[in-house]
Amino acid sequence: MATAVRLSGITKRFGTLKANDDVSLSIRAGSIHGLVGENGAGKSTLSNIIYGLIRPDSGAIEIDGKAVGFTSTRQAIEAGIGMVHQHFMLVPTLTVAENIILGREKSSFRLPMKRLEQEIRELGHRHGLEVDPCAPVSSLSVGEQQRVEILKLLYRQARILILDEPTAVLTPSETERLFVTLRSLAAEGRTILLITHKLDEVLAVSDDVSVMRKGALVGTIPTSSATKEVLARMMVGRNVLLTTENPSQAAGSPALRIDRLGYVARDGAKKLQDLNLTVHSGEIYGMAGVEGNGQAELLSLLWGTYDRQATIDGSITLDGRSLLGMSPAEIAGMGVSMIPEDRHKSAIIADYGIEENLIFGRHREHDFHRGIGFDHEKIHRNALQMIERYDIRTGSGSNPSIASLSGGNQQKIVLAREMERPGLKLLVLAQPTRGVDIGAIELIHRRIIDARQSGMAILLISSELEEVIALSSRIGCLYKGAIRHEFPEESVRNGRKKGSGFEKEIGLHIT
Amino acid sequence: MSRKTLEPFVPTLSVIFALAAGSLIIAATGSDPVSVYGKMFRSTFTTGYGTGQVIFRATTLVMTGLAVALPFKVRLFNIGVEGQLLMGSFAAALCGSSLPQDTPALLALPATLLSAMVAGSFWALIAGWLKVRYGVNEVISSIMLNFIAMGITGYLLTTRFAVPSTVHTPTIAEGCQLPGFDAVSGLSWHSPANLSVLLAICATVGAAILLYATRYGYAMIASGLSPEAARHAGINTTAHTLSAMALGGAIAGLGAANLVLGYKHWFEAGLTSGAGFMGIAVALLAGAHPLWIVFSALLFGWLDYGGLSVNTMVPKDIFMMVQGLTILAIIAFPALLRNRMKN
Repeated sequence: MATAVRLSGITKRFGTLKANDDVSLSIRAGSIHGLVGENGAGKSTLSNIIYGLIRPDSGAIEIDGKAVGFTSTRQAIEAGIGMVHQHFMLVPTLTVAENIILGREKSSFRLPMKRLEQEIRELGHRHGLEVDPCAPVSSLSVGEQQRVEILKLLYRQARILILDEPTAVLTPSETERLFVTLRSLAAEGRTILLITHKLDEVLAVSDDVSVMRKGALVGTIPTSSATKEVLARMMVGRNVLLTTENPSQAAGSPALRIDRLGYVARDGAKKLQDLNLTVHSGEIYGMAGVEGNGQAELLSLLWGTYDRQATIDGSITLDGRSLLGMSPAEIAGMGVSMIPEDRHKSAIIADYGIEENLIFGRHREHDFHRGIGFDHEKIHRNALQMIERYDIRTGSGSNPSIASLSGGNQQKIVLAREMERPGLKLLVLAQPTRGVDIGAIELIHRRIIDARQSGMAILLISSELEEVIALSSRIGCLYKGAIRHEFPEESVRNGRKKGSGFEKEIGLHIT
Repeated sequence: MSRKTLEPFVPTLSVIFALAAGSLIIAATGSDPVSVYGKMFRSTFTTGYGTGQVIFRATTLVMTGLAVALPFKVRLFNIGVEGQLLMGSFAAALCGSSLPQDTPALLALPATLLSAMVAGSFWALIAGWLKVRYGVNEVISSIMLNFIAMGITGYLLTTRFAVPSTVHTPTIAEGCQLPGFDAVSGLSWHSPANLSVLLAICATVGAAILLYATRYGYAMIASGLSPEAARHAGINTTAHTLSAMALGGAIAGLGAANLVLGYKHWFEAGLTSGAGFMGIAVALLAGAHPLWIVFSALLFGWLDYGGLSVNTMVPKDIFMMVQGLTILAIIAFPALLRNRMKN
């Protein structure tokens, strides 16, 4: 079979960091090629090089057997390469058809919109990418927007499609549907490069899979001979326990109670309505749901950071005391810790060192004080303890800046700080392993289960169903601001054994 | 060399670049740069009077520089220092001249200083309050407040408070006058340098301690580096915005100690001679670090007075250009470095 993309000896440095180190890779024409690796392994750099966004320092690229040296994405597009970015590049106020032809208008005067819309409709129908060409993009769901992005590439006659983490925003059924589309595109002879960190998906859909680690290509193997364990080992460089042991445990008394909670944003949008749930001590309540169904609003209410001009009703109580209306500092003082979903924006100060970050948000604790300042000796000892207990890999030097650590180690710092809060009763975790490497996920999951066993009440909000299933005692399915269905302990325990069947079952309740 | 290792040298490089550019301009006007710079050095560092002039100018600049730097730490650009300095000086002059002549210094000094700080602080808080309450950009509001302060002080001076047939207010009570260097040391520099330099040193050390050795500073710097994360960590970022402005305004007002209490002993038109605006440049060159501000203020004070001292050879406007070029270079060099390192 012909080779669509051939990379040889691609190297790209950013400062002292080798983002790509002598990467050589061939992608067969008409195949679906998975590219997996942890965050920072160099996947995005490599795909951006193929798409002409970044120029490599050295190495050669061949497209369809012809050597190319793109200096702009325009040239890559002309060579038949298209890319769907993780964040969509659509104009929300324009219609689907207008977005698709944007930049490709064949006439500079009147556009034959009727005919174009018909063309787009047919193109969509052929590949299972149905979407109304006349609808404005702002009215589409995330899954539909992604279809528009793919249609845009097909309309431009792209033969090599690069998709960067395409399933991150999709529900399980939408993911399934996307895979059908990808297979039909490959069957037509198009080549697809699928970048992802979800091993199940790459195993389900790809023909070949390449693994990257620390900028280098570890290897390429046919998917038929790959297993999750094999890929994980290639990614991390050692054996990884993919499922954490989760012994069952009797839940204690109710700790967090959310009763008929409603949230109407200041623009009148109903974000939460009649949300009810109880989290007991000694249990992990997992909240499954696609992003944008009220998770952000719920988190802001739990942590006192919500928009004070929104209309709130119902109640949130911890051990009978209301949390609503309190400031984050007061809520923390009641024994609550929160791991926010966006670590970089909300949980760490990149310019501070590890020691300062390990007390950030806990700097009011008298234990760390001395005079008008801090007791640096204690803060240093605290850091040493946390580094040891949470296996934080800090690299060289004393107290290096947190920005120099990998995502996984940064998250361990946040976790260590929040879990060790004195008098902790309730732990709220939002996407606790987002952007975290597999090796670190293992430890984070184990620590979460340890915390549960010590009697903590834990609310876990995650869009990764796999994670929700692996950790939760009970699972609530969040859809349009309410818990639509709750799986009791027994069915979660049974579901854990069923694997992807259970994921689909949950998927039904969140779409 | 990588960008990280070059970055600390940006201020030095900028100063060298600006001085070099200045010598080109001097050469273009037909003078010899070497002899001009030479005369500048001699007239400032080898004479007591010149040294005193530089110290005097730097004293105000340390205060106005700090007034820009502190709000800068919480991401506020306090362009309104000129207005705050004007209000502070005016308040100090009014307070000082309304005190009975025989008020003891122990009472008169604190009262005058406090009035200057409160006035400056109040003026800065207007911009801070508009920011947190209505989201008004502090750059725009504080520029406007500068004009308003000029208007108010100018109007009140000419219509109400000026000593007849002069453009200044009555002399302040003896008790609130800060003695000059000569009086306390027995030197005979005959320069305007005075004991308010001690206040400038205290303000600098105080600001450095506040920022880097207190819990308050930890929270303040955090809310500047990442407001979102700071709010999440339970830090009241609104309070920090207001208090940083208030503190900045108070230190700007303290500039009156040098101009009114230490030198003129009254308020007059043109008293500040733009020291509030120059404070912005001082803070930028120092990267808003309190201790570096001292050096930065000395450099700008030197350019300011040194330019004046060679006025017979070249117009002093050239040194205004050098000051401007320094700041342009400070802003442009990091961006240039970034672009160079990328390719």
